[in-house]
Amino acid sequence: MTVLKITGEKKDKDLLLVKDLRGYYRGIFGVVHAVDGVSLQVGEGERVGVAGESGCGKSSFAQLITGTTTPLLHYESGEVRVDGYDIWNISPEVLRKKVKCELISYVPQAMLSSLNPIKKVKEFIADMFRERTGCSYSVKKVCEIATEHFERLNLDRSVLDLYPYELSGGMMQRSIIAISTMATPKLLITDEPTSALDVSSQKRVIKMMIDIQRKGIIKSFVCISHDLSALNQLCNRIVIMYAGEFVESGGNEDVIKHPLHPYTKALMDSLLPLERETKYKPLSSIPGVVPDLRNPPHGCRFRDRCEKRMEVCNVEDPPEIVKGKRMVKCWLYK
Amino acid sequence: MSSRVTLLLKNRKFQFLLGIVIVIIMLGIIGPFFTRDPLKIAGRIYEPPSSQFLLGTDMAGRDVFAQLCNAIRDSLIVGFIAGFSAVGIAILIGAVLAYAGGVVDEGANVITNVFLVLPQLTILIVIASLLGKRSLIIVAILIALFNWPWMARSIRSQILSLKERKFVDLARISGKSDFVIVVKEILPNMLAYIFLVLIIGISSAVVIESGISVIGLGPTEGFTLGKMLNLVIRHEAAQQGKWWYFIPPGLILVIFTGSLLMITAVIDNVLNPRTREI
Amino acid sequence: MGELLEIENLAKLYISGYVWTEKKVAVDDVSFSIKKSEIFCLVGESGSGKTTIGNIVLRLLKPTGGKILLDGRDIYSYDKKTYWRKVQVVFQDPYSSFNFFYTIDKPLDDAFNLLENRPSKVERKKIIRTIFKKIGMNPDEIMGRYPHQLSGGQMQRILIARSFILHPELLVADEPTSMVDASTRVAVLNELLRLKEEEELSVLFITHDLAQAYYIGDRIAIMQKGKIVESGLVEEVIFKPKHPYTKDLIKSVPPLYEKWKL
Repeated sequence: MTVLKITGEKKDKDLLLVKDLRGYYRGIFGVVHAVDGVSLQVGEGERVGVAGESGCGKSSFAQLITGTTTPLLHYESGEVRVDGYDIWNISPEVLRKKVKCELISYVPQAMLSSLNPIKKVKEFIADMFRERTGCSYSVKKVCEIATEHFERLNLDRSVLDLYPYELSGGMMQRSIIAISTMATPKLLITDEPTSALDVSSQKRVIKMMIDIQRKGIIKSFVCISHDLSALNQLCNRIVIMYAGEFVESGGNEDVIKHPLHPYTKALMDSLLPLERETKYKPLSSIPGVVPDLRNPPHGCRFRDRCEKRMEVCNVEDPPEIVKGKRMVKCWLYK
Repeated sequence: MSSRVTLLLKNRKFQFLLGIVIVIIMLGIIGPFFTRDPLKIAGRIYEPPSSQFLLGTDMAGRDVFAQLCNAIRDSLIVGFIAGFSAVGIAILIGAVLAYAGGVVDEGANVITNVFLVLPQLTILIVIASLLGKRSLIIVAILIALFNWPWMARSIRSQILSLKERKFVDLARISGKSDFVIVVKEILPNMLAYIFLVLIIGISSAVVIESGISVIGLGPTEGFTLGKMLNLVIRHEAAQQGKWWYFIPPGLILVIFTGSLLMITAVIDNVLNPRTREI
Repeated sequence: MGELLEIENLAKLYISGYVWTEKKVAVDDVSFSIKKSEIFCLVGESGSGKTTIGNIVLRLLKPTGGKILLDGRDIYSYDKKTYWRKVQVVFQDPYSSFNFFYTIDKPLDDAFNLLENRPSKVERKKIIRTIFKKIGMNPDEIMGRYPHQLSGGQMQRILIARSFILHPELLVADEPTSMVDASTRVAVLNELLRLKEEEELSVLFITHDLAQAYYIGDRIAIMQKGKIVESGLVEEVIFKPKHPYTKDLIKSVPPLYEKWKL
């Protein structure tokens, strides 16, 4: 995989810099190339979305950039720099103290069942806060900090005194996001923050995440989701992931309304926005299946399902073509 | 499913442990045919192990190795009968309760709780002292009576949770009766679980039987490892240093039940996709 | 009245506890009807009671009040097998709908159980093959496989194929696409549309996704906390909503082409 050149301003203040990252699952089933050479730059003040369908590797990507990988996922190669710290090449102590406690906050998928059911929310917050900041405040003191934080985000303070089972899904998700930003990390990474929620809760979560960033509590966030409509609201830049690679990225309007990569085009054609035209549009799904990542094919990974396939697609891995903020990984644009 | 079984069979730990268990079982099944009569006096008193007597002789001159093989056989008979019947009853009752629901289920829960709290060993001792003659089978059944409640409860929970899966609803909507659904849809999904419960049932039955036999209240017929230990204690073989006599029965007990229990851990480790080793 | 399915004053109450009882109202006085060859969408958020209604129509749950008529007769007046020949289902979770112990052929094979004259094994295999070809799936690649070897979308389409075996009059589709990838979702929905056109099938389409309901539906009913708050033709309810809850619901759907002003 070759990166032709990176034009466009390279911010010195890159909060997150990912270069040619690879991460594979190694197990008795073989070696799955879940994340196979992706690069990303996130500066301060940016809201980036990583979109893809199930199995594309986006959750694995989230694990790799936060330094918290599940047992079978291994970091293979590449650079991941968070505020300058190369997280895969520093001591575990620094990783834990500096990066995980101060710089990054990671909210994985399906966190709704992660709160201890026999402890009130405020006890959980106190534990977590003391861990992250290293100070030993009493539950009461942490509660005060939490209350202030919750009120800044327009969250009802009464949540603190409740038990997890008393909260609704939407309330719980917002509380978790609020809690994870209490120690003011610079970068927030969320995996499917809106997926398990009702539509009305989704809007509140989206609003809250944007608020958190606008109010300066965090500097940037990276949001991983399969829901492009939600990402359109949450982010100002979207990256499309397919079979372990980033195939396209750019501003929301560009990627959604003027997609370049055939996969992105096909994906946009299969979405169902709530508009009059939807009922009369000729919608089609993408034929074929995602390639088996235990044996990623040579050349372009989308070629078996692509209408515009060419000879070279079968043989050589397409280059990443970059123009300003736009990127597309396809032979069509060489 | 068969791929999971092959995975299990290839696992080194499993092969090792299974090997041990099979060797012991073989000793119990084949041993008695090839060894001398354990009750006949064949040599001098307390002879140490030799080529003639693999484990020497006991305080009356009887072949210890022959005794061991027979003891293994009878202990296994009790263990297997107790284990299988307990599991059988548990599946039946667990399934019925899972489907009955309501007051029946609640009532059964209360009864199970009572059973769980009862001191198994104590009650077995009392019953044993009341019964004059206790065959191997009767002892096995008595032990099973104490084991099936906790098994039924776990099996019931498993069935309850599987019952909520949509393929059960789909089977109902295809006109299948509840009985057919339990046998063909639910139980196949519980095979690994039932197997584990069975192993625990067998090993715990062997241990409990040894427990009551050591104090002389075990089966009046047959000769089990526990009864062998009972003789060992009564004749103070340990204090006299006759290691070939007092070590083997206890050792076999520990190795057998220990291996079985470790097998359950290995099975769980291998079949649970999240903890699978590379 | 000539309607396929008529639901009148349906109610479902859950009571827990024996002495101190707690009541939970899942379905509260719901009435609607479905015509032949029509796709009727029941839309609501979680807890609105829509799935409960689906399960009641399927005779998996007994209602605590109200009447349900299929072809003019009370649904409990039919014997089970006849009823389930007329009413079938596609559930939300394809991974739960298949028994992983058996191949994917099993649910299809089981469906034949409901027919009066069950064809022979060879016949059944032939019929299943033709149906797979009809829905655009290659039987050689699929038959004899285990569920974990297929994708969610493929599994759902196989479950929909059951309807081609039984030719039911009504299909209850409970969130059939929510666990399916966006790119195959449309294939599943188009399958349902084709069933409506070719087999004159009616569908009770239960979902929380307004856009899907709009794409596939003829009429729609919006549910909130066990009651229907608004219903009517899909174009009217979605683009000219009257009830405040409907309006709120529509406004909460994140648009794909515009940005909210937050």
